[in-house]
Amino acid sequence: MARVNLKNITKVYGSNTVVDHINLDVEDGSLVSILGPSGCGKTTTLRMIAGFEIPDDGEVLFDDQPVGRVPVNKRNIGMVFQSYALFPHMTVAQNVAYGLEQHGVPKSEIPGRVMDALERVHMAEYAQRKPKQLSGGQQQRVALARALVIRPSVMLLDECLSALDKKLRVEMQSELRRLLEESKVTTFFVTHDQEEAMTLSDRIVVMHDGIIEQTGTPREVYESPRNRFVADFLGKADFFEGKLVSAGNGIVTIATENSELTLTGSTTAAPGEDVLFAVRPEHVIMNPAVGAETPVGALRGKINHIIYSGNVISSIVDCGGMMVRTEATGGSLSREPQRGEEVILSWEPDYLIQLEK
Amino acid sequence: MIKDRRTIMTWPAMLTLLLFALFPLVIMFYTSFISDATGEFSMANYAKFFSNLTYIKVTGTSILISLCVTLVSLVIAYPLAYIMAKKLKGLKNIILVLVIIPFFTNQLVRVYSWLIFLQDGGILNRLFMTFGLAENGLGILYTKAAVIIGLTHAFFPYMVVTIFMALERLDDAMLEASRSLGASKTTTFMKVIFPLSMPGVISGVTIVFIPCLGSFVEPRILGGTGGLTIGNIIEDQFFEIYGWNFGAAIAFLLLAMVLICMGGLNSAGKRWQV
Repeated sequence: MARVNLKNITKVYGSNTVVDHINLDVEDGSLVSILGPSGCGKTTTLRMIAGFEIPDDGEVLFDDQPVGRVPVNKRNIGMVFQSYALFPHMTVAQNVAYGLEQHGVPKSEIPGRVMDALERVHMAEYAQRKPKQLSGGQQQRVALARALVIRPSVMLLDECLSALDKKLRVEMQSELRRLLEESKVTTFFVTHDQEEAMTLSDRIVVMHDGIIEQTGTPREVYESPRNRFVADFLGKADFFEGKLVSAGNGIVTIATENSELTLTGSTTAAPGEDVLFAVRPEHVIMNPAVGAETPVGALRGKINHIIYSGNVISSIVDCGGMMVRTEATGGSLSREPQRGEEVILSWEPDYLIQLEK
Repeated sequence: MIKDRRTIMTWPAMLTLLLFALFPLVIMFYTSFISDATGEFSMANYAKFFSNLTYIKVTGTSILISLCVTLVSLVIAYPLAYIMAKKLKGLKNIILVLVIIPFFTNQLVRVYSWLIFLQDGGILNRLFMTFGLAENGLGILYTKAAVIIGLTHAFFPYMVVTIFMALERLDDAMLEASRSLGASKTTTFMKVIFPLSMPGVISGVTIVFIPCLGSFVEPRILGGTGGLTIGNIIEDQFFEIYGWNFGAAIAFLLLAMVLICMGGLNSAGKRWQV
């Protein structure tokens, strides 16, 4: 219920710039994931929005109002922590009521709103329990109810699903999305799990080494990654790097260190420029090599390694010293690939992604 | 068989306890009923204690001194433990060592240092007189105040350590959660930090109050006549008057008092346990 702008915010610890002049504009009511590996500055960014950390430079704005001087307890935020951080000496109901009491909600309204919030996360029957008597998933729900009940302008979730086991995490993802959409609250979701970021948010902000690498919808970021880091961090990718020799008719030719490669695809670069391309394993089609001919734009190689993981069979193909991965869903292969087999790898022209050098 | 072999390991400890703690206690309990005057088995020693107002008064003084020491220790220890646990990062171990130093100091050295510090020609009095704050000196030595100072110095480290441990276990995210829910720093302290540190406070109170009740060295050296405690009475019965049976009776009354206090504190502690 607030528009959030980050203007040039920076945080320095000693000689280490953890967050480096970040700019981000977030629409009212949108769900934004801040995604990145550990140490990329995503949690620090979240803590600056919350007010637990003060930016060394730049400012945070809620609805165009700078909040630099507003203490945490006056920012009207809802925060959910990785450790849930429920108050162990209070019951579930008391935990949820805590924020309402602090916000000066009339005493007569509190029990009703507490039960309402607990019902929305299906925890009403546990109202009189202590947090210790709940499972991790249940504590998570209570933590969510406690944050949402105060009707915050901004919700901040810090790796809040990572302590749950995988099955429960997937369940909670869709439930969390439903809850946040219902409450129409602007949400920041810090995570290192790309799947979580994809499922939960309208927009993904990819962070690395204190800067934003790319911002976009989950589809944009996955299908058109800007650079090598984003392509590699979200999903898997194999890279082709070299000098562009020629391009046209759906074929690009690049000169790598020791040979020339022809790849299916197109480019905006001019011949002579250094270029970097990527292709995702699930887009690579593998066929047995018949005869000595290699179609133009395809790669020929030998299967080096096969990984069977139930729904997906991954093959790593050695194309003259360069390893290219390919993935096929379980039922889609007419026959099992064999190690050492000669294969031809190809893909549709649109699947060759050009990255920034 | 396996179970037996395991319990063998506890025998030395059990035997030591039996021989040197339980057995003497049983003998003392028995002698406490033997009258010093007639040598007969009776309640005379206990009756003697309760019929003499001086003993009751001294018991009152002991309780008063112990309460004061506990309170002063708590007031000093809590903020220190809080700062150590929540505000300091690298320094906290150094401060912990500094706090624990009185532990390692010989009791007599510690007490005589206070004697020198507090006496009429001592540093404290001279300081106060130099600055014109007290014309004839403070006259603290040989009062209850001197005993309280000496005992606080001896026991407050226990309080620091127990509260420090309780506070250090506290998840910082919990405090941040409280702040994010709209609570000020003061409210967060009152509603989250303090209640959750209560188990540490209660063990601190127990560990300071109980030994204070039976203390006799500090009162003897620093307390004069006004700071006489129940510990001194027992000491006198054993070493000066040789009224061992009466001394045993008082010792058992003290033990009863200690057990009652521990029971009370223990159940208070359970209430705060999460």
